[in-house]
Amino acid sequence: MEQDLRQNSQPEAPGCGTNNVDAILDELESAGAPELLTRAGPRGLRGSLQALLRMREFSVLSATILLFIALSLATPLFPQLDNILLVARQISILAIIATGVTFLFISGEIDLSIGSIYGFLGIVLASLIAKFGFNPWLALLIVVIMGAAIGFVNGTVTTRFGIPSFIVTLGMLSILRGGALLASGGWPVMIKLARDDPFLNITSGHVSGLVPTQVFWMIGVMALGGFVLSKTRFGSHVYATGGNQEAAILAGINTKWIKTINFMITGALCGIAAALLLGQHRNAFPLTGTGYELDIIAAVVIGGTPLFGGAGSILGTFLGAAVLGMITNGLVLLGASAYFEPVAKGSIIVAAILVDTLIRKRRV
Amino acid sequence: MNRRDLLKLMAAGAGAAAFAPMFAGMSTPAFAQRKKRKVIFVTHDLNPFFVPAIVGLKDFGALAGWDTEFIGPPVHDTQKTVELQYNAIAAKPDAVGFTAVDSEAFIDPIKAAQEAGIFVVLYNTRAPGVKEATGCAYVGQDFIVAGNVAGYEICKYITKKTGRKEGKIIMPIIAPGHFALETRNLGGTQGVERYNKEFGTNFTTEPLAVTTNEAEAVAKFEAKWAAEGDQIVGWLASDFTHGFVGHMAVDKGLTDKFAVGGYDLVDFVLEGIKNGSVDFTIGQNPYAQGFLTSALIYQGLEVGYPASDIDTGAELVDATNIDKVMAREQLWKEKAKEFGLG
Repeated sequence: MEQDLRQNSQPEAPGCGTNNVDAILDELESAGAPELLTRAGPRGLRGSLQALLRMREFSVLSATILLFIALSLATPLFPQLDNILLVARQISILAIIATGVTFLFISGEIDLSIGSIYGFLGIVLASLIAKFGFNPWLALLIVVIMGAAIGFVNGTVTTRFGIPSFIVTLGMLSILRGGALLASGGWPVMIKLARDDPFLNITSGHVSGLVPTQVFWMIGVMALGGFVLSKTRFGSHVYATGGNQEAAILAGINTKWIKTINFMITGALCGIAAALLLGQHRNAFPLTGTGYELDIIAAVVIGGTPLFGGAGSILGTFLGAAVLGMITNGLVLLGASAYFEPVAKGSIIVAAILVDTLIRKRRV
Repeated sequence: MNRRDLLKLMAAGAGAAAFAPMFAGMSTPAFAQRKKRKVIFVTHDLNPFFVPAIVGLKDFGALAGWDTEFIGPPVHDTQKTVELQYNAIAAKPDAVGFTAVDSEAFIDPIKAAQEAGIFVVLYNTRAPGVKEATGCAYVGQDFIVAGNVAGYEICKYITKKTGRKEGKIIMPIIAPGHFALETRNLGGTQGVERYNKEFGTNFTTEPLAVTTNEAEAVAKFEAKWAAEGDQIVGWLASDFTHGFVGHMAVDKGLTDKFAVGGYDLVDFVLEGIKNGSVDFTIGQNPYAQGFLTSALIYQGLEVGYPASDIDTGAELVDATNIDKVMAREQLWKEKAKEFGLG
């Protein structure tokens, strides 16, 4: 991949050729960014262990395993297969949207409107099916395109007008929340599909009567996202954009377009997530997704993707979502006070950032 | 309060009385020797309204020797509520109390609980169709009836305070799409229309989406008043935000300009009635929603009777009975502290 980036870099200014690409790669590597930039070499058990310890995801992986063991010891209900599948289903929608947000964070941007996009697209999808008689799959395609279009607006306003994405997407959050209320009149929009309708089966059914289909959607989306991020030129451009934007521009990367595409990916994934939720509840609610952006951002941050870009991975995001899901589930199983969950989540977010910061300082 | 509402209140009281013998035996071995049970309540929104319901569950749980748990998302959120309901089922309790604020989304988790052999009773909110789909009994308010009471009452106060015969009644709502709140507004509009018909007035209603964040809600109220103050004659919240309207009225010296009413017995609403900035509130006996739901669960688990619906009424609280009500609600607050909830 390193070779690939070097070969495809198109310097814009004289004298800004290969040396700049080297600089970007060195900077990304020193930031501990993508394992795709790691120079390959002979590696024994000791080398593999060292590589594991160097992984950005190592701290969150350790936390996930420790949390799993602790909860399993605390209550025998936790490690049961049906409970694990329950947790997996509960994090599916969050993890799908978080995949797009990981792309955005790595490229150095943020989207606070994800909860509202998700809620708004749910209302649009349900309305297309229930009020206008659209085929559910065609309606799904439309909302995915709409999600990408909303992302395009977010990305274009952010990159072309130089307005911070924090502000742009805060505005979009409010616009779409109001849009969902206006489109629904404040009431839920119910779809009346037969219980065995393929749309319901594929979006919220079970495979072999056991594994929720939402889990497969999550695996599919995250696997594809992980592949794109770690194995394609676009992925390396995403890292380069967030790692050092000026150097990336000098290396010929269209950073504005990279960021806009990431906003579009995030919006499109909100459309898919909305369909999965609609399939499960058969009702869309105008307030769905309120505050959800915080959970999604928490998953990404816990997973080791820094807010300032240039590093991170889909694996980390998955682990971050798993940690959040295990906390929510585990606290109920343990009979903890309902008021304690936000405290636990907040503490873990702070701890994750603290650990990540300490690790990065040690690397420096 | 009309005769029908009084009858409903009496019915709720009778329901409580029916369980009295059970509570009377709380110190007897017969009650204490029952199997230890785990009972989990899941709500759709952990706002202050539910503290008495939590205390009701804890009180009954203490009598029966149960392990009890009361959980819910910090703000109204159907997706998170359903997730918590499934988590509660995974904890393998003997019984659950669920709220069902939607006709479709809660049917699957309720059925999943029933299929797992868990006794289910609904409390606080049961959307249309849920009873037919699940057969679950419900302990809570009839929202159309409560809305009718409130709608009629706000008109009486408008006439009394302002002498006006027409104008706009604003209906703040913290969660548009929430079945209970929207239904109260529907009932409220019906109550207003009933009053118009009886007294030849021409009051109209208009919803206003707000949040539980007081600063944000008050900003909206102030903007609404600035824009349409000459038309607004009353505020009838579908929830407890009439307490916020009362704060605005005091701050701006508007207490005699309009009537203010709404629902629930949270602290700042009762304080508003006491200081005259709120005219009335409609209670729904949240303590009963915790306690009587638990009692239905107890008789189902231990004796085998099926649960049946209990209407917890529409208690009108105004200046005439505020002292008594405040004293009563203070009791629940103290109990909440005992359980580490206050």
